[in-house]
Amino acid sequence: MQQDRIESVGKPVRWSTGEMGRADDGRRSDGHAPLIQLNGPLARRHHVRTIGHGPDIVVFGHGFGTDQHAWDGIVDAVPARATVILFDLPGTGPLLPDGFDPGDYRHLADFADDFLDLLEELGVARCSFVGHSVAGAVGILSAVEMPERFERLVLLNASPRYINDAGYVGGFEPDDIVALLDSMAANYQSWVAGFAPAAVGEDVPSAVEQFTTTLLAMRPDVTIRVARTIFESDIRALLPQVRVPTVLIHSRNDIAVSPQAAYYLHRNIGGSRLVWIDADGHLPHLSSPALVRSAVRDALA
Amino acid sequence: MPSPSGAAAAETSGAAIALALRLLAQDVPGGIVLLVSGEDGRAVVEEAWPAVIAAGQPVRMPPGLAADRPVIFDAQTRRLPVGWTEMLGTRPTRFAAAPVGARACHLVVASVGDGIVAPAALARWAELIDRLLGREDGTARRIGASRRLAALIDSLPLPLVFVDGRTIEVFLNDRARQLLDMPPGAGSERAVAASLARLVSREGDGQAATLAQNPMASLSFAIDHAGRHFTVESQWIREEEPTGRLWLFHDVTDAHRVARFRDELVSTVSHELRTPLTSILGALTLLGEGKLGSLPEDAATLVDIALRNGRQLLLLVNDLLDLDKAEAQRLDIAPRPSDLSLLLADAIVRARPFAQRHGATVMLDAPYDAPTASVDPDRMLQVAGNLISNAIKFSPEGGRVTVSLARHAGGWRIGVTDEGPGVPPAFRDQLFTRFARGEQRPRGGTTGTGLGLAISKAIVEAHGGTIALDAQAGPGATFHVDLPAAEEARGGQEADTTDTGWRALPGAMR
Repeated sequence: MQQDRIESVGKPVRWSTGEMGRADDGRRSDGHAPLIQLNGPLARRHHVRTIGHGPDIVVFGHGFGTDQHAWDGIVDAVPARATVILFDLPGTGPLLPDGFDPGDYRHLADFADDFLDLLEELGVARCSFVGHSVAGAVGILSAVEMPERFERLVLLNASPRYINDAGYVGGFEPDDIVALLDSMAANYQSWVAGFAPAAVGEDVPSAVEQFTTTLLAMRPDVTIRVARTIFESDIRALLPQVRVPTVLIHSRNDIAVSPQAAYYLHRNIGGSRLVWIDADGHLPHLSSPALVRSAVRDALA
Repeated sequence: MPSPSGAAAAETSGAAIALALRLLAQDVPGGIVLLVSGEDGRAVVEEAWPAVIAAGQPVRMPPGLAADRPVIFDAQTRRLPVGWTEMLGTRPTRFAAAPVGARACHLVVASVGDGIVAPAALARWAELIDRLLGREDGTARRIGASRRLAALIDSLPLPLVFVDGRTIEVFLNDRARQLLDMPPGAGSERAVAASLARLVSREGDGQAATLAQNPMASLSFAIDHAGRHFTVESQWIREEEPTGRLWLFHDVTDAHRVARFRDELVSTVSHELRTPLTSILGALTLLGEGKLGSLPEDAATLVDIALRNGRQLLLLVNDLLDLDKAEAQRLDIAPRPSDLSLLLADAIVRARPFAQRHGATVMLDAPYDAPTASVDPDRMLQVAGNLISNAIKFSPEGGRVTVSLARHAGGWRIGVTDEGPGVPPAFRDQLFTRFARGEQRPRGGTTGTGLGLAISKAIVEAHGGTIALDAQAGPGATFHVDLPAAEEARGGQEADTTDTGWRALPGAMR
């Protein structure tokens, strides 16, 4: 079932701001850098960093077990007219602010609330969002809640549901998830030692090392709780409600995301485009940055 | 403590509330009806229909919804916590809520599409639920689900705290409330968690760091509280994932009191014994040496027996006092450069009569080049003597005890190995505690004071060294004394060679 590069360009989505009477279109046409409020408490909580001064805004969200530096090899793909915003999403990566309670993050929606609060504080009225894995799902939820904030979604190796269901292949049986969480709990470090190379899926030592380092920097109990939230998530019902132009980028042989999950996203997000890149594993932005860079550049063009 | 009939009533009212929610939900197809407790912002689900969210789970409330009067608002004109959309599979269109009596509880309806519940109708449902909850504080779910468990835990005679890792909910039994000075109902759950964290960082002997590195680590430490002593044990409770941390407080006050009483008794008795014993020995020595005129042969024999036993008794008393000092950290150690192989040879010679009685041979395996270390020679002789006499006691007839000395980790390692039965695993932990005696009887029924190893440990540690049983070696027992590298005075001149004459011994002993 290996098509090298499927491009499906659906009908352009009709999309209008103000449909729900909420915030207006924040795009600036004067070519000046947007004013991003970097000194608020949420900006600090999420370690927000910006690159460039262009009028458009591209926000990058990292996936489970990584942090904003996962995008270090990719941000070059952003056109010069844009400002890049990078941040850490507490709970999904090593960053754990004071008072972070994993019990408050039982649903992906809880991460989406944090993300929307952050955009609010930063004063980002409109942006393109590039999200890897769980951040992709967070992007979908955020775009359903506040479509007017999102110019487009670029989702790298995202999945709407990890557990198999009637007529759906997520890639995992419920027992697999129990076994996975169990082995995380039994010996977190040895779990990381096995999981990191398997997830990277390609023999790229620097990628394995980077993923291993961030995973080991995470607090095991929090990580297990958040992994459970992610693996038990199911946002399939919401996909038809995404009104934001979406590009799906997927690599092959991803241990976390089945090809069927990618096709499911593509079928159910109206007008989405599915791009297969010639790379293996769940973290192609770490293991094959050049391919991801070019796919992201195309998606943002 | 809640009565069983109260628990049954609570369960019945819980079922009735679930039914009420179900009936109410018929008016909002595709929507959800929740009974929640807690504040605006972050609330906890008590009951839900349809059951797309479990009781006990947190739910983020749209601002202004949990008010002191019925509220209704259009959800399309404002930002919502995304959880509602994820839970319902679509964005809710309308919210309505009504307070439940005077409780910190709200009945909440989220509808999709055109579904709607009028605020007045919702207020009547809320009133019904309030009646169903009866005189109980709190809500049905808490009362029904936790009641029997709470009754059980409350009646446990030991303080127990359970922190649920998923909800940060905390269960304390009555004893734990007393211990942590928390009146029933007072103090938030987070406050309990915080006070436990403080307890660990204050009393936990640096185990807070362990906990930070590995939050699932088990820990154990001692605390004093209100004149009582507790051993605190804390460990993760796991189901299919780690679900929370259990804290048990064992009251060890009585055990401590007994131990302290024993310590005081030992110290008093030994002081009281030593003074008269010294006079007795002095008198006997004078008699035995014939200073008061020669004694008849029988009398001389008796005096000799009395002297030997008296000295043995003095040894015991001195041992006790040493240990007492060691525990009060007052052990006198006067280190000076000493030749360790001479010292060991001396110890072996002193043990020779004892070895002969047991039919054991003691051998020294030491380097010839004056291995010098800075130790208190008398104290180290005491340690070596202890280890050697223990080894002899447990040696079989014709057995061999090997005393070795070798370089180890920059310092010196003294080893004493016997060919006896070894130390039973169950006894290894208590080896170095006072009055420790294994079930294994030494051959010939000889018993020691049970203090030798405890004193040896104190002496070795006062030298900055360690003493241990080598668990790998076997089948006989091997004890190692590791002495740290000291600023050594190499060469014989500075070394203590007052006990000369033993220099040639190592070879001769083989």
